[in-house]
Amino acid sequence: MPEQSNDYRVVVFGAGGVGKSSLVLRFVKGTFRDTYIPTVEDTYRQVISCDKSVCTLQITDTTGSHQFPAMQRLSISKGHAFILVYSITSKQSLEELKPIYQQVLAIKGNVEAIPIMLVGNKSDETQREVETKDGEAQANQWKCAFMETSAKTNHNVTELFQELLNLDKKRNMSLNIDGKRSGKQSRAERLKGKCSVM
Amino acid sequence: MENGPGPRLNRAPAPSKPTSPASTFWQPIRSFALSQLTSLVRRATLRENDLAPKYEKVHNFKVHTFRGPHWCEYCANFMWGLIAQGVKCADCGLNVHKQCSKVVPNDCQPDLRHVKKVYSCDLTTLVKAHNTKRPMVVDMCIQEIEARGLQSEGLYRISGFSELIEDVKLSFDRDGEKADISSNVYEDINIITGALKLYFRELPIPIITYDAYPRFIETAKIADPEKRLESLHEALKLLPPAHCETLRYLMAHLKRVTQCEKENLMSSENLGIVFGPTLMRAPELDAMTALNDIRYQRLVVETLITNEDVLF
Repeated sequence: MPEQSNDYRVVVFGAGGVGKSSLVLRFVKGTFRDTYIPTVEDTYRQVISCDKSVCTLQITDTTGSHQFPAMQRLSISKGHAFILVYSITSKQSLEELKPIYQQVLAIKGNVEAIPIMLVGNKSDETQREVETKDGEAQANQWKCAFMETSAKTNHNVTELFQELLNLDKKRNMSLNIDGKRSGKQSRAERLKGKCSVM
Repeated sequence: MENGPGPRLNRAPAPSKPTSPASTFWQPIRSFALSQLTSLVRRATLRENDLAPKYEKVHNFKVHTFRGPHWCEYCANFMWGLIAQGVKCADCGLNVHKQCSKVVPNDCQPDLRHVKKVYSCDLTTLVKAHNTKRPMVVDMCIQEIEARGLQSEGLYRISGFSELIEDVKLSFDRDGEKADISSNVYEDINIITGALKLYFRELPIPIITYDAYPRFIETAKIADPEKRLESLHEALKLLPPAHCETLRYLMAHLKRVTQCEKENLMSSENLGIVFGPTLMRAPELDAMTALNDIRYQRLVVETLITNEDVLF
């Protein structure tokens, strides 16, 4: 495949049931389903603009239920940017990101040049176990960006991906493709200003 | 006769006369011979006792260099040479000639002195060593999970904290059946489910063995449900008895998990996704085939769970 080099690969990690697939599906398809189906591994594509040309955004949705070290390593070594998702209703899901972050660190070496976004999903839920400031503190420690989202209410979902692309300083990427629009941009205007970038 | 110089294997220890020069010369060799004798006796008594699970197990012979003279425990002849005189079974400690190892019956009775680990230990070896029907990890985890209740949302899907799962693994490796996995120690049920899944993932030979794997995948490709069940039933016969028994027990448990689907949201389809790659591993590491097989693995496990009552 000649366009391979043109791909920008984003990998989504997180514990089981935190809403990785929901986030990705909300972003890619704009839908939300209240189903409960574990993921093995799915990859979605989206066309974005990069350095004034068009490129493919590849989003890999990984499994949270069973760790395959080999598969995880492969995803990390091939990924350009990472989204680490936890659920604000589960302190443990944040804890579980730590080994994943360590592995990204180990494989990528210097993480400061790599866009990483810590995401607290299910922000619509009322039974909160992880406060926003706890997530921010963790992001500060990891020197990565932080955001709270809700795939259910579509809060901060597009913003999450746009922000992630903005974090990459080597390329100039945007979800908007000149001339074309894909329906999601209309929502992008309502940036809630909930993100804090290091 | 009583003081004859040649120590023979079938002789009882004769009271030696300390003054006899012959006996001081033969004493070391005799004690070696006696140590061999006791191991022969040990083997004989073990066979007599005939332990509860009658799973056949092949020996795990490795070339070994014995220090001092040794006698083959199969043919009772001397093992000649200075190095690599024979082979030793890594599981039960049986010492035989290399030639004899080919004819020794598959009656390996693993000894706990040799089988130190629980995780990543061959399933049949483990159950024979511990003299149980199934690996105690499986029994203990399932009993613990069922005692705590199957209503927990995302049972087997949500992963427990990996450090604590490692901890459970270590305590099984260290304490065996005495490992404490009660809720006082591990409050979160997902740690126990995680430890159980890890056990299956770390088996050197998966519960659905590499040999039987292609047959199982084939069954998932059969469209007719009736025929699929039939061929799945046939495929199950290819599994070693200990594997089949463990699988049966696990499937009966997973069936009970699906009966609480309303609360735990885990249907047999969901459990199939989670357990498929845990119970089945493609023999060759061709990444593409392995990836393609994942949906069939899911189907196999799903069918096993829903038809658990008919299949086993």
